[in-house]
Amino acid sequence: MGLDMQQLIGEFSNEANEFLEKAETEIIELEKNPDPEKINAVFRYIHTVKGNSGMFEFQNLSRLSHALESLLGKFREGSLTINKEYIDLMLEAVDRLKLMIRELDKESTFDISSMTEQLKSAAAAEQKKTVTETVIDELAVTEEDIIRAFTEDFLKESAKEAEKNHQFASVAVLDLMEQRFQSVGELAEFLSQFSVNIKKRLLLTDNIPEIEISSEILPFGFLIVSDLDTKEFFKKYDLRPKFILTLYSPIQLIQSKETNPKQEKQTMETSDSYLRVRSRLLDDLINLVGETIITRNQLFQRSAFLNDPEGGNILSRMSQLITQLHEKIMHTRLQELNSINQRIQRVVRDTAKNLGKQVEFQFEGGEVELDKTMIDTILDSIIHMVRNSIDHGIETPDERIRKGKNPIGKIRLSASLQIGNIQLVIDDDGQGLNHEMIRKTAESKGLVPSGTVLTQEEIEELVFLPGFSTAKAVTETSGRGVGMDAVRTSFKKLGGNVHLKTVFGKGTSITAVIPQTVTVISCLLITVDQTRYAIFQKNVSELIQFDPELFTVVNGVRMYRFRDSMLPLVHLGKLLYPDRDFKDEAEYVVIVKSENYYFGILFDQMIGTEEIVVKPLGEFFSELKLFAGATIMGDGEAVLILDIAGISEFEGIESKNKESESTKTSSELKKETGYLLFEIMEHRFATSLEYVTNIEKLSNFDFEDLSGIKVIQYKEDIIPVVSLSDVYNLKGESNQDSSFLIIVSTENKEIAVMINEIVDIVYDIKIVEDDRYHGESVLGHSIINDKSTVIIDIQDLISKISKVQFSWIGKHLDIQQKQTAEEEKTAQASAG
Amino acid sequence: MADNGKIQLLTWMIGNQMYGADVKFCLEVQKDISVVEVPHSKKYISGIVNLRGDVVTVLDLQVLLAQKETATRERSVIIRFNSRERQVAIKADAIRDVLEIPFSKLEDAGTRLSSTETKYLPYIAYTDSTFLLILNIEELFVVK
Repeated sequence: MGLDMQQLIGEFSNEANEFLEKAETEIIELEKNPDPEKINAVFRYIHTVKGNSGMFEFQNLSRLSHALESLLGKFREGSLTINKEYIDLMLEAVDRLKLMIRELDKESTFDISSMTEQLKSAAAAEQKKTVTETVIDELAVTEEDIIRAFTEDFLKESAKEAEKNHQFASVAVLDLMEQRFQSVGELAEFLSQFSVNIKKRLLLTDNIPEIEISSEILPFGFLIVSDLDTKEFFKKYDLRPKFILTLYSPIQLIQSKETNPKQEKQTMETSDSYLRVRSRLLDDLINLVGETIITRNQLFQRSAFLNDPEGGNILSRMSQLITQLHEKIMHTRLQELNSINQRIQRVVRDTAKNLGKQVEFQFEGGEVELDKTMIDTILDSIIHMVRNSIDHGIETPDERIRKGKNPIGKIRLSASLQIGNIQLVIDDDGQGLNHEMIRKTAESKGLVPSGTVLTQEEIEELVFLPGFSTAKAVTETSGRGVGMDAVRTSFKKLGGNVHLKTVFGKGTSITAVIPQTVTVISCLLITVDQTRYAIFQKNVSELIQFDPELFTVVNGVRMYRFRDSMLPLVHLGKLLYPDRDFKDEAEYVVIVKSENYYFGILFDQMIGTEEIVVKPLGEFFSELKLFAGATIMGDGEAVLILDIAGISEFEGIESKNKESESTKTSSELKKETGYLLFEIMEHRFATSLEYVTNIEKLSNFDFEDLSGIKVIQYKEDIIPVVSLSDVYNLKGESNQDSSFLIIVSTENKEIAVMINEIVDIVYDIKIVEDDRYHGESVLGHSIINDKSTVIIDIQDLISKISKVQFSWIGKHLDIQQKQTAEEEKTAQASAG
Repeated sequence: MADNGKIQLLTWMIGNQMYGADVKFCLEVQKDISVVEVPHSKKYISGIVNLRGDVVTVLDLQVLLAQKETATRERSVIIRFNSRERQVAIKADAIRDVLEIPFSKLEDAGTRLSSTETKYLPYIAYTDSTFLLILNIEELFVVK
């Protein structure tokens, strides 16, 4: 067996697999809609598989597909009607065929006798029709087949020629064995007596694989041009064609014109066909076009030195073409998610059937496109989750009726495009998960220490721990020890993640996010200490010049005031090169957004934006989360691409288990501000940063006394100062040197709150309501960094205090404001 | 590995020591390429380079072998290795000849080197003037 044969068999198995998958889809569809068109389609797929199997002498494949085909034949001729049992049987047969294709080298060892027997007896159930008819049916040549065999162009050309000469042109399909002729030559000779010319003849079995080679008849297709009407002629001389396709007829011009549009449409469809291309070739193309883009960028840099406007025009035209080329090539690897629909439908159907449940599966967003390798990677996870939903989520019909639910459970898979990401959601309306049960299971398995206080979200996270499985017994359907941790791992491998939300009794919703890989991405290029770095443009929210006024650094926590909120600021230089010396300040700030949080990145210089080709960093950096990859610049140097999510994680900005809520994206900054952790007299406090507009050093201000109330001048305003140690009556050592003012804005006025020490900014704290920590505007307490911390609502506190203490200041300020406003008015009036 | 019982080795210098590797793993040698440091990466990683459009990781053999002297010059030679479709590069000070050495002349390095070293340098070969340490390329890919 030579290499060619190997290759042919490879192609055969690919093709057979594809046809079987298509057949499977149609069979599943048949259950809902027994459309004769679909039966025909399945019949053809199976027929092709049978024909090709016979060609390669795969006996078992060919026998089984023959049996299946015979059953399908019954549906086609209408002697049997499709029902659930038949569908099951057919799906089983398709599975067997697929299995054999997968293990072609063992094909001959498969035992298919019982399967074929089942199919045969099913087909024989109502065998009433005559056998002779079906024999003729064996040769199911269609117009499409003929067009394919002779090629469209050739047929059109022949029709045109016939039209010019006012002749008939048609294609006749004959099998010689049924005629009186022993050879094609004899037939041709006979025909030529009547000036009937065979322009072209094809042995159709060579060109249409559908036609069975093992059959005794040898169908020939003849393209005939003659002065006589071919149909009439054949009838007259008792030639029995299987099929005649009239290409051109000078007599029936009107009639043929009528049918023309339909034919046109059909040929159009066939011409927009698909080619099977090796995916390796596509990978090569993608790499090559990536190289081309890099080279183009190099050329561009050079061209700046050339003083040739015309050359520049050509260059930019070429550049555009390369961009377009790249886009097209990237699309070749993309595949619609619809391609997995059938697999999942099948899983849903089988799983539900095995468990005696009724499930309706909905698939939305199938048009979303993903890289093929990604689809392959996530498919198993999706199947696993869908199985889980049916097994653990959806109740039995009886139970559902008892609960007042529709006996048919619903599972929905929806895909949608987010910013640079693809979001997959799997919802079900099943029984959901009991949070308490999850916690107990996790405790009993030693995954969490017993008695741990956990939020609902944290409990939902436990499901993803390795070794967690709520199934009481290992079932065949799910719970094979793969579990949700494997699902999460597979999504994480692709740079995504997965989370779960469940409402006990109502259902479960699993959300997975994966980045859509497009290897050429627009990036912002910046420098830090002379080294270039790239940031994905999709992460960039805003680019601003650094303003020291808005910058605060306290105990290594850097914050930047941006549109009335304090954003954490990452000093890129210090982050990347901890050994080097940097000033606290830098030239620029880029406001970036990771999954949930906005934060600023401080850097030195900006180079600009550029289209870059993203290359993976490789296995040596698998643990390094700071970089998303690398690219090669026009000058040939490699540049690292910053991974914003990784940086925020590295800096502790990102918390682990937030993101399900982040899907409600908006251009606005989200109020995920975190909590400011501070100390007063060595007591720890925290308050939401939401109302904190700035943090100032106390030493920068002079206190003034305004009728017994401390005030400071702050930004051309007089604002009162509140000492929290007085409010809470705290005693202890105060270190006056490191005191700060938190500027809090409330009801459009600002108030300064005096504290001793800024500790940190923290996110996602658990606030526990506790009687021991009662007091004015105390929300509760929390353990942060191993210290008991009182969480206060500073805005609430300030508004309460100001109502009592500063009411007159408020009035005073109001009057002042009114006065100034009036002054301005009069000034304007006099100016006008 | 060449036939007739000989191995062809590409040799290079790091400091005063000569190293060699089977030529079949050697993809290319490049001079004057700037290695871009990757912050927070492992100590034995010098950085990444662009070699004909591929981003290749450059390892620092000196660190990997726990050698004290890392007198590698700023701009050095990059040798790219390829094994089973995986690629890695190392830095060297200078490239020397390709030597053909009979297998019989390869000696177990265990007697001369520490266990950390022999992991990467299983063999020693003696030439007229000096001895060279032979690098096991495969081992570079399983560096942890």
